[in-house]
Amino acid sequence: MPASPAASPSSPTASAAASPLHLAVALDGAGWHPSAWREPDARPEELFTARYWADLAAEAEHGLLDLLTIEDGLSLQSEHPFEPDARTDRVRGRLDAVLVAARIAPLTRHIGLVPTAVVTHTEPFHLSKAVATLDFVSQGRAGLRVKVSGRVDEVAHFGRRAPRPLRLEELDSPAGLAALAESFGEAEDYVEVLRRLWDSWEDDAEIRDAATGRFIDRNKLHHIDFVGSRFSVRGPSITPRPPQGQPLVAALAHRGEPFQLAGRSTDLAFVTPRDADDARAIVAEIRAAQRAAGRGAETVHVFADLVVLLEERPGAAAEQLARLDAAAGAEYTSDARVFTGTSAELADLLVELAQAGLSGFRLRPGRLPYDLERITRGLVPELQRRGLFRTAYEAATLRGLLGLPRPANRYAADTAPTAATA
Amino acid sequence: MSSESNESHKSHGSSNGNGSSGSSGKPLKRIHLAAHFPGVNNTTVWSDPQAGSQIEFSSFAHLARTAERAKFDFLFLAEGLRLREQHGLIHDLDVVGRPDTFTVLAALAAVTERLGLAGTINSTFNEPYEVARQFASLDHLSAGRSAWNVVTSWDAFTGENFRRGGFLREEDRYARARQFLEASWRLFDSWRGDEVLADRVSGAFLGDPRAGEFAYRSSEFDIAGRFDVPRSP
Repeated sequence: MPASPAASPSSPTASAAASPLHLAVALDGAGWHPSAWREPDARPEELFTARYWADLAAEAEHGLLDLLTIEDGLSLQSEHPFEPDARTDRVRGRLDAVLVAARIAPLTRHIGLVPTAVVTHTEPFHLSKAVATLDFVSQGRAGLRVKVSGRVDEVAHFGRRAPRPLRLEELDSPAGLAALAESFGEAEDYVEVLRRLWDSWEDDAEIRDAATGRFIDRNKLHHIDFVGSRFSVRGPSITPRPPQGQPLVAALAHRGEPFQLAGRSTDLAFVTPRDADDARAIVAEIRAAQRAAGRGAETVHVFADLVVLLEERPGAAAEQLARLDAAAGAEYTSDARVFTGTSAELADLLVELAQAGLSGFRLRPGRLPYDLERITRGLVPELQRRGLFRTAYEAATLRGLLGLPRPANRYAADTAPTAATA
Repeated sequence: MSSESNESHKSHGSSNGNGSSGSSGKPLKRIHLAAHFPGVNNTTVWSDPQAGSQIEFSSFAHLARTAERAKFDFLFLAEGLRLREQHGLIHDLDVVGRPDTFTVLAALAAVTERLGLAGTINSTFNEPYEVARQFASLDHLSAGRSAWNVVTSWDAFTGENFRRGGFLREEDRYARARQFLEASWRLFDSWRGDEVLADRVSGAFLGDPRAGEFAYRSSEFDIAGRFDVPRSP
């Protein structure tokens, strides 16, 4: 049976009328609109400083948001999904998102930290211990958004694969479908390795038994012995099991292959529905993938992504968007729906979309820090007035905020000694 | 078999000796001190009831703050990418369990202000683009306090934890380490430092459409493109 958001334990103060919403904010550069960095209160010269990210995190936490995400990639930002561009009029350059998250972890206490990481070119062993460490330094608030890269320039940055140029319009050709199946199959293997490595130490593996001189019970450390068609990983991790047991795994999904990944492997899907009917269809597809993978009883959250520009005077946000578009020289388009309006109008939309089975939203501020402050100081109080959002943090971990239990260790029942191979 | 015995060390840190004069007029060499986090292996007296955690962040923060109070140059973290085993059994007598080097150093940057943050990173089981962006990011996030202790390994034992493991011949590991460093410097230098204009009036964020362009070809690497982290402090 699929986990229904209304019935999930993620609603500690659920009323009969409606269950509270979960809210995430997606941080990226100076905001998601390409002209945002030119706004008077933007801080484009500080994008590569810790202070900028710490201030944004503090604002998001002030608004009691469940989590923040940080965009990333292994190449310069580009208007093109698969290739670089030579633009100089938009924000270019960024810092490693896992390290930004780690830098702000000791400065925050409640908010979940979910950096983006590319799985196509990186080592699952390294990323597993990085996210486990983020969980240690944040005391249980780590997550990870796994990202599949289809960019040809990223292939050349690593030099270890044959470049395979793709075009959006070719994704549904036989070659495009094969490439997608390969990339998302690799991502699924990758997440499996992350999860096995996080479990490769049982919680009570460290015994510090002075009498026998043993620091660990070696029977509670496990080789994961993942063998796949693309890579194999032996384990165990060098890092003990992190505080949450399994840090949160998220993915952004726009079509069938990533919907499968989301349902089979993740705890949280970010999706981009056009409207409530679209959202309903997407949720159904993810739930079907979840059931097919035998995960029907688990909670998999589905959050809709929205780009938001907020002003308190009706009509003002649309005027602001027109002004930003004029500065950019083009109408802003996004994979996600672009919302302009007031906090109350946005609250109305979230309520309407939530009825399609979404358990929360990831809001992409058009302008930073401006629209983040409109979220935390306008939208959040509006949702609180309607009884739809928390008035205090109710859990110490990110999984706790999302109503996810601390999972049992998949190896805990396996008490056989680890096999010898040397 | 140990995963650490075959590492070798070569420091690329920020520590440079500067002489100063003592009262006698003879040059007095100032000493540089680094604090090594004694987390794992047999250097830690873990059986003492007062022994703290080798993995909780509070242990790292405590050591870093203490070293900074004592005006140490830098904190140093070692690395081992596979737990030691003997005859296929995980060695259980010494302390094990360490964090990811970059991640814990980035967090330590938040609780210190002046202390150098030196990490050991392997040149065999990593790629230059990724490591260079991690070091450059750490340098930005710590306002210029990152340092790299590069090590190499070649053994298939450690390689079993990596998708690209086990490809290096023992005699090639220093060539790879040298080329790895050359490639990394090429990446660091791909931004001169004056490209980010962020000029609201003219609308120019970058002053150079080719910022970050790089190419490096050698026996171990063939990489090209644009590096995505502007020049670090």
